[in-house]
Amino acid sequence: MKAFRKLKIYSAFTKANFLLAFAYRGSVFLWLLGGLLTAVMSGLLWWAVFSFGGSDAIGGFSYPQMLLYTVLSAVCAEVIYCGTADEIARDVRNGMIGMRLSKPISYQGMQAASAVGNFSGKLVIVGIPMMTIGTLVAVFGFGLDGIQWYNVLLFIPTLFLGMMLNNALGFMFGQIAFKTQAMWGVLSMTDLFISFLSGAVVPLSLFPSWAQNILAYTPFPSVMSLPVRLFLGMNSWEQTLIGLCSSVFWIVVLNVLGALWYKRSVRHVVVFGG
Amino acid sequence: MLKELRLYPKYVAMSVKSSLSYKTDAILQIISFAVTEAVSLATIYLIVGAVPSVGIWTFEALAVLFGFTLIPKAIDHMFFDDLWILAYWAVRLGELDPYLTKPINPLFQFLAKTFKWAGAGELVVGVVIMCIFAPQCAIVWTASNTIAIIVCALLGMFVFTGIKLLFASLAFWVKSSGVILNTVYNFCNYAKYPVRYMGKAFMSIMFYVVPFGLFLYYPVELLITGGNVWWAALWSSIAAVVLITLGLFVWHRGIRRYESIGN
Amino acid sequence: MIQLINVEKHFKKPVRGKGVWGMVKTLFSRKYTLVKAVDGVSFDIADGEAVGYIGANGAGKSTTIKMMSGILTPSSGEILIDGKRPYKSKERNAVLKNIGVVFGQKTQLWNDLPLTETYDLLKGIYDIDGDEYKKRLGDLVELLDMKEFLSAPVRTLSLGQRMRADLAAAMLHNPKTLFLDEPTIGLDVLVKRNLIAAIKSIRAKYNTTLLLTTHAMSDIEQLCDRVIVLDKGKILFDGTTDGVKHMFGDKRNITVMLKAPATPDALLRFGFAFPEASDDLMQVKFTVDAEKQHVNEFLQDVLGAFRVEDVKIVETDIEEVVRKIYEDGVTDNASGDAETARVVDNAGNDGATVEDGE
Repeated sequence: MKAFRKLKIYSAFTKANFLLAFAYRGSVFLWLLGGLLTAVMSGLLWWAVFSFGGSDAIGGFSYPQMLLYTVLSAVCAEVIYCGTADEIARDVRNGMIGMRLSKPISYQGMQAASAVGNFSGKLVIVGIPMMTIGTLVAVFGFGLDGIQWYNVLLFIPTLFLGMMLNNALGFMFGQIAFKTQAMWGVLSMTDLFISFLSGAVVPLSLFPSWAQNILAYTPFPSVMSLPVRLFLGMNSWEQTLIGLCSSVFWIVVLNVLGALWYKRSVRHVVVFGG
Repeated sequence: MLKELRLYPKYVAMSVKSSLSYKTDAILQIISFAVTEAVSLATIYLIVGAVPSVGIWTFEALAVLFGFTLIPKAIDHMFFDDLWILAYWAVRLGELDPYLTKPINPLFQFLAKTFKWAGAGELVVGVVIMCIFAPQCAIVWTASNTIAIIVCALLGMFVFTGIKLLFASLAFWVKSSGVILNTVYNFCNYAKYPVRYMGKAFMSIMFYVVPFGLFLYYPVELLITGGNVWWAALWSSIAAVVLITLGLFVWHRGIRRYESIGN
Repeated sequence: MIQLINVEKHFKKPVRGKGVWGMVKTLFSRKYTLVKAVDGVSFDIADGEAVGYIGANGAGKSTTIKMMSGILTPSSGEILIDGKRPYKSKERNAVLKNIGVVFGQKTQLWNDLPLTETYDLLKGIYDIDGDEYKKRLGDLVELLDMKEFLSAPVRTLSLGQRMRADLAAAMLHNPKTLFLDEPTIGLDVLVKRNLIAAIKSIRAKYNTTLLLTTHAMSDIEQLCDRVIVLDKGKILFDGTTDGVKHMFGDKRNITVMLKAPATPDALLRFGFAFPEASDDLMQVKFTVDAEKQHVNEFLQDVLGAFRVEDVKIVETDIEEVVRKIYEDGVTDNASGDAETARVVDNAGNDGATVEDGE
């Protein structure tokens, strides 16, 4: 019963954030427009790179695969972006953190619940439409093959795990807000850092092999590279399975680390009175 | 105008003094932007590195181009960063109020009050990268092309400022134009590639639709191929005048629609 | 001389749907409602006058002040300050040189620098002559008692200190007119009293024209000779402060929390103060007219008659005045559900026992 009540409190945050995704109607259209322009430019850029290379594949990607990879990773980046770190920074800056501390629910849990709502809302409003359009264009316009329905189905839970990882990383980086006011620069750096290392900017298979080997032992590839490659049918079953296990492992580890770090940060607040 | 110019040093001094009470923040900002630029350079290296070589554009030449594009962006960043705040939330949250009640240009007050150290960091990164890689590119330095490239960098700053002012001022109509501004602004990243060799469509967009190719890529291309850099300066100045004028026009139209907050 | 001639200000507000489906529909709709924040307001203020501009939240007070100080452009009508319009770019600077503005919820001071830095910048902005500046700053520092925090960074100041500092910033260039928007908001009683006294002495010294919005009736009583009451963008009342007071009286709501339930007998004894008891009789609310009755004496009587745990006194606030005028009833008993709710709300705050309504 108590657990159920708790769940209800958290699900309220989920629902609120789900609805929030709908509230910014203007920015959704603008984001779509911006995304479209970026997709066109990246498509042109890769087209040039492919024609210079003279080969059919770069880093294991054919041109249509690269095209869809670029589009999907841009859309997914928006969908899994949950602004956890920004939120913490804002709570710290305007002193809301004190109030949050006095609530009988876990701040970390609240952030995760909000992230889930945010993710679902954006998935419905931008994710699914854009990914469908992108896929149709790639398949019928550029002759992409290798998309399987079971991969597409498995893609959503994999992306969900990617989002949970992103949220856990965001919660950790958000702790920097307890130390500085200059969060805007820090957050844009950490966002770029995460997206670069997770393969959202350039596919990881283009990285030098030593870098790829190191990255395999980090949580980053599971955030973006894993779900998108899965969607494209570029992963073997084995790779997918290992990837999923590593996602779950890292979600647990990062959340524990985040909780410990948060405990330390909060002591900081208590000392300085928020 | 004269009063504004006279007061500008005072504003910058106050802003610098203000930011000195947050030394860690200033350092963090500089580090953030240095890392961001390093990632950005790595991206270009990975993409262009996937193919043998693109025309005249060796990696060293691309690095010079990369360094140059940072310079006008950095100067704009140091002095006019608050246009981002205008785009994202100043209009929505009614933060322009205090500037409108003083007998001095409100846009001037809004922009003059912030000096960003991160921009200074970016500037240093840009200059250092240029200094490292330029000697490896067989560029013949003359007094003329040295002055021309500096002029191009300064004019480029005004183009950046004009673009930011234009799209940030749209916030008066749409409340928050940050997403639009961000989209347009990020086109500058494509000027870091060998624009002329990236296909007709790419090149046309970068030269004719958005001017980033014109004032960021073109000067460096002329510099490396031994052309007359002053041509780029001419184009940059035209772009600067047009965009600043447009930006000011939209700002002036917009400020009349300003709604403050609390309604 | 300030003239407002049939001024209107409209805002467009997008219509938002309710629930998930409503949200989805909002995505595709471009519907707006037109809100008339200020709806045909006209008045004149002569030089040297002190006017209280009051009304409920959202009545359009701040919008009017913002139009008068160059922030907003009226949708229609005209505002003339000494014959010039603050919202026209050519006339703007001439108007703004002669007015000072303070918004209680916003500061114009540089947060991380000592006050003197902001003042020094203002000296440049308003072209204040060096000697004149020194003399005036000296006077203001003395009047507003700012010596002790003049060189501390603004972010370390208390709200009351910051308010005084903002007031000094607005007065530095010797403006003919001063607009104060909610200057006492959030201040505790003592700090507020000092601030009001300081504004009074500033006016006495410089004969500044004053337009003041506030939620506290007492601010108006102490500072203004004339009151304009605004409701839903329209002027409801324009007359002397005494006139408003006479119409309404100076009511205090006194709520006592008891240790033992109130007896009907005791309640009857205080029938003249319109007692309202809670269901369990542990809490009683009285309404006292301070003009007819000494609040002090009344309290003594109450403390004698009941076993009192705690007392709350709430002064009448503007909302109530407006409601009264609106209902056109000048009855003696100013009680009602809405009011009860607010008093209970006030009782929920900890801290000072005596406080003004919001």
